[in-house]
Amino acid sequence: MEDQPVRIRPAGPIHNEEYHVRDRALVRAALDGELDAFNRLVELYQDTLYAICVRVVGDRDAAGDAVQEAFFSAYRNLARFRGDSFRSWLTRIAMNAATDILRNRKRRPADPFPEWEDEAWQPPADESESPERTAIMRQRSRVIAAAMTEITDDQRTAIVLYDIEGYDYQEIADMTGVSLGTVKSRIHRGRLALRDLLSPDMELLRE
Amino acid sequence: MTANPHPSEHARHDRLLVVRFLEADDDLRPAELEQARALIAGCAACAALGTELRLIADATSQMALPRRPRDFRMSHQQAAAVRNGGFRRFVERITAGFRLDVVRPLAGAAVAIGLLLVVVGSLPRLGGTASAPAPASQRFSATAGPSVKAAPTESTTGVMTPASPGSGDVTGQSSQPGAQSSPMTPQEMLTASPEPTADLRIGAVAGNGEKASPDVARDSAENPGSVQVGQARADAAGDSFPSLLVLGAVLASVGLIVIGLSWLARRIGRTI
Repeated sequence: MEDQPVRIRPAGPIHNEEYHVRDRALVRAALDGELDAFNRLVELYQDTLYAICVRVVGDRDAAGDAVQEAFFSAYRNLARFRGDSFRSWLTRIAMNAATDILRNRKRRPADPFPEWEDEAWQPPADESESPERTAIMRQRSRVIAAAMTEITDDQRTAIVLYDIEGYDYQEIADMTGVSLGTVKSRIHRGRLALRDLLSPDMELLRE
Repeated sequence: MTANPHPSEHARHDRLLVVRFLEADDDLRPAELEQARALIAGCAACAALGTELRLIADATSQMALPRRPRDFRMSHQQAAAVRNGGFRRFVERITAGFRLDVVRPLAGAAVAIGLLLVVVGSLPRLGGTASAPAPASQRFSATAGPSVKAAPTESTTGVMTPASPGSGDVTGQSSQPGAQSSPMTPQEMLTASPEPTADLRIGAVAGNGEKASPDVARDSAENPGSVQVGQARADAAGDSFPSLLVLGAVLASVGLIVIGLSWLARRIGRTI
């Protein structure tokens, strides 16, 4: 009987103190004028930022613009970095850029998520997996992505940061500038909305 | 777990409460915890919710990713541009909605009109001319209304006749019987014309002049609103030139700022 709380969230990335120390050293070097140090930070986080932005805005070009703007903004404001986690700070900047894009898109609603069907979306599947498995993963990604477009921007952002990036509620609240309760509510309601949208495809998710 | 004998009842269950319980939300009160446990124990659909949400969360985390389209490392040129780009970004943001080919001529026109208004607005202060009071007398005739018609006096007609010879409003009022019955003598016109605005104010405000006082008193008695109208006339006459001056200065300043921003926008390479 499932009458005790269970862990819904999958294992997210590890927030390692060792990484924080490394990042702070690179930030100091970048502040001393070493562009290579900053570019090292870009190398470390560009994939992560792009993954977040593209899931939030759902458009490769717009996500690329958001990431570029985030790195420019981070470089410009590097002296203002005070926190422990450079990754969280950078993610907050990227979320702001992504939010700007979503806001502009609302003003000019055109084709909200034009690229979900694009072949450039690649499942992070192991190459050793069978073609059948790869096909299932791809189909699963497609239905999940389609459902993600249906929930609100705020819910999607919270779920991406929580489930995929592994941030906790408080970190997401800090990043998105809302209260802890609002973050929880967005995640819970977003999950329920996804569940309702995906109920016809639940068998696919079980495979 | 007991199977739910009435599946439709599940629709009425507080699924959000179940989700919060499954997420181990520490904001749940003891009563809510109990209720959530009861729902999971008594309803198969509520109990299945946890499994389904976990499947969705796992699938979400494994969602396909697009390839990163480019390398975001910065070149030295980009870094220099970003470091020194504060003012540039400010100008770009301010001029984002500008169409420079349209805005610059408009701004030039605004500056020209503004300067003209400044000049016109400052003319009476430099000693007054015959043409300067025209707007005031037009406003006077426009706001004079029934009180002037009802109580035409020497002082009223004496001011109006010479001050606005070409005005349609005044022509209409001059045709009133009172105006015709007391035409101005050339001598009166000579004494009235050097300071028409002053006369207008004296006649309109309170009749400080010896001649005007009894007329205004009578006018007030017959038309209580006329004193207020006169006050409005006086305000209008008194404000008109400083207002022109301020308006002109503001217009010219705005035009100059826009021209400056357009020039900066061009300098930093913004295309139209």
